[in-house]
Amino acid sequence: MEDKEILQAFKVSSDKGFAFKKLVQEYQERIYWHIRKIVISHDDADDVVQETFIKVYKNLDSFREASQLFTWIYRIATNEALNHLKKKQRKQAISINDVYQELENHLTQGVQIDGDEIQIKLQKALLKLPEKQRLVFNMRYFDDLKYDDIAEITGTSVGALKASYHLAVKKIEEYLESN
Amino acid sequence: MKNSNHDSNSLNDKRLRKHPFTVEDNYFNELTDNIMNAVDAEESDLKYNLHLRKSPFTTPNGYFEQLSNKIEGAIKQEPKSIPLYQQTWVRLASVAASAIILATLYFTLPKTGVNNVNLDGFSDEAIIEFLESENALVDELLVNLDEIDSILDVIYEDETGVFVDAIQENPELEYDFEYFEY
Repeated sequence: MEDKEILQAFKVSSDKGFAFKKLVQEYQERIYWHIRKIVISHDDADDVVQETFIKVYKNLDSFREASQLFTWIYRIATNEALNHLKKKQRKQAISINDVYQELENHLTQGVQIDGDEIQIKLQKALLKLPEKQRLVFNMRYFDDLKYDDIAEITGTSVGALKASYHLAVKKIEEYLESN
Repeated sequence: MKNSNHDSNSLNDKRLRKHPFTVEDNYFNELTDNIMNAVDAEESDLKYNLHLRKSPFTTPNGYFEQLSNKIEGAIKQEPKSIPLYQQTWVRLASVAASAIILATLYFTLPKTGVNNVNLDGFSDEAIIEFLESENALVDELLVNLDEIDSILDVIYEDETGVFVDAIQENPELEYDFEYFEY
């Protein structure tokens, strides 16, 4: 089912449930992995992916189709994931650096992680980056998204995104070489 | 014909060949570095390292098969939130409060409507003078409103100035501030 068909079906109350299920089935894996790379832990990603789709469900009627459906969902997922980290920080009354330290510990001690040394090292390098650079790198490097799409998701210009990506690559290479 | 000659003559003006655009000092020195960095990043070993591109994260078996049902269940459990202004008690309370305010104003404000005033004993000049003084009062109030606006502008600048300074010092923050609109 194409995005357009999903959106049209969602407007018909009798097809709403069916259309939304199709949407979830279409996007759940991509969105889960996107969130997982931000929050690292599977349990957190599981919570955030559900929150994300609840938000999508509540707001789909007001989706103006000014952007693509998938970039809109990615944007919600990104916000939810970043908010999740901020909530975690507030709840535990710790600094954002401590949150990132926790995420780093989870990479080596957590469950549902099955990478070799170099893959884990790359994830650790990513946790050292500023939030925006980490996001851009994830979307470009792992998800292979176009800069135009990343620009829609992050609301940032393509030029700024390219600069962020290049900086991220430089820092990661330095990290991988020095560690 | 004459016009086109005139146009081409005008365009021959050497000053026109100088464009009005400028760049920051050192822009082109930095541009070289930026382009080289961009090329390096695009050609980076990272990009072609398929092993590194593999994410180390896994999910429990059958996770995605159950996820859509889980989301469906979560949506059904979600309490239907009604905005505050749409809740019945808030609407009733608003209507009651408005009625009380209107009734209070009706009974307490002095009845000075023009219809109730007997103008027979006043000369035309006196009435004109009175109306002009009333207008002067309205003008004064409008001037005060302008002052209030400028005071509010100062307060707004005070409150947002911190964010503007922070964004100028650290452009990364702009993303945080604008990110949560969708």
